[in-house]
Amino acid sequence: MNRRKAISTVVGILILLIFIIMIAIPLSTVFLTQPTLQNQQTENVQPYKLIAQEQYNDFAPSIPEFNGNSEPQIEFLYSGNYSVFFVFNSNSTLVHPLIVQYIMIYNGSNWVLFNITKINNIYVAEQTKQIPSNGITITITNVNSQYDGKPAIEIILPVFPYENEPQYIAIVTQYGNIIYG
Amino acid sequence: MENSVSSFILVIATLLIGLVAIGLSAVFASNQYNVSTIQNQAQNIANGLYISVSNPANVASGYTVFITIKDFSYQGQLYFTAFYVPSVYENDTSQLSPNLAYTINNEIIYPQIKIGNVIPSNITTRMLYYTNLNLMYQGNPIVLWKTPSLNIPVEISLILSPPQGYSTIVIFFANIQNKYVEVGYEWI
Repeated sequence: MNRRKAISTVVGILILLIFIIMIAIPLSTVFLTQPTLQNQQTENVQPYKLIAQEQYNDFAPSIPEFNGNSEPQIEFLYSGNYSVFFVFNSNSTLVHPLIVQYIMIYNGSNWVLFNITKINNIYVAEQTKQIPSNGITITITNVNSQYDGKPAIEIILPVFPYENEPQYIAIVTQYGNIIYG
Repeated sequence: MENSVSSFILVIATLLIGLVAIGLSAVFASNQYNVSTIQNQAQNIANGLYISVSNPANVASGYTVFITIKDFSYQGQLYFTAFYVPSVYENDTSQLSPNLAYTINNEIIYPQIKIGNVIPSNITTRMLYYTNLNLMYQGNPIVLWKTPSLNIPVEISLILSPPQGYSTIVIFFANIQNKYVEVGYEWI
């Protein structure tokens, strides 16, 4: 009689122990693992944002002067007459690949979005009703023009920017960076 | 005999208490897990969000800018709203919400918005959440515009006419499990 009672108490406590473990383990995983995942994701994304920021440097004069040359690697210029140029100042490839998604032109009342299409070897900007999915890749290998004796990519514009000012014409790169004429 | 019956009842009671405890903790844990899943997703989108703002250009009613948005950890669609907020809040964004928006006759005044030269589709909602899932706004319907997929940089142009002493804010939301959760904002 006495022996039976002892076993049932032990069994009861064992069951209780199993339940405590069953509750404690899932709870601890929920509370302890989530922040770690979150930190990892923050770290994963940071380099991409840095690269995106650095793209502006390709358009800025290099400081300090490199090989006596402080010119930016590439320049975006408005010709003042229905075209824009990407001018290459060196024959080396760009540090950051450059894809131009679209051109924005301010016409005096609105920033208007222009898609870029390639017809034969000529790039033409066209007004569009939706955000274009394919940009054009700007590399030294697909130059189609010259600017001041330097290799350049020329894009023909259908309109003038407001007051024919270069500050009212901008390109948007694959990272969403905005670069003015 | 009496003793064995009472200890049998004891074991049954322990079992029942254990079942109730596990049931309660399961409900709590799944709820907690759900909340932290939404928080994580929102945090993840927020971390990847990369916003650029153009120079302003003057128009008759105020000025116009365009902003481009790109997300390095999310390719889907986002929602956004834009309204005018007293400029003093630019230094204190902790309480940022449509409750601060400039209104006329209790109607929030929105800027004119275009995406890729056309007016985007919009929805209205009565509830907005911060990234940590605290309630940001509850009340009259507020307009949210929908962006295209963010696999390409999305361009939003705005024509702004903020009243004197007001600045414009654009707040971005992700729709996660039917909750509009803040993933970023930009002062213009």
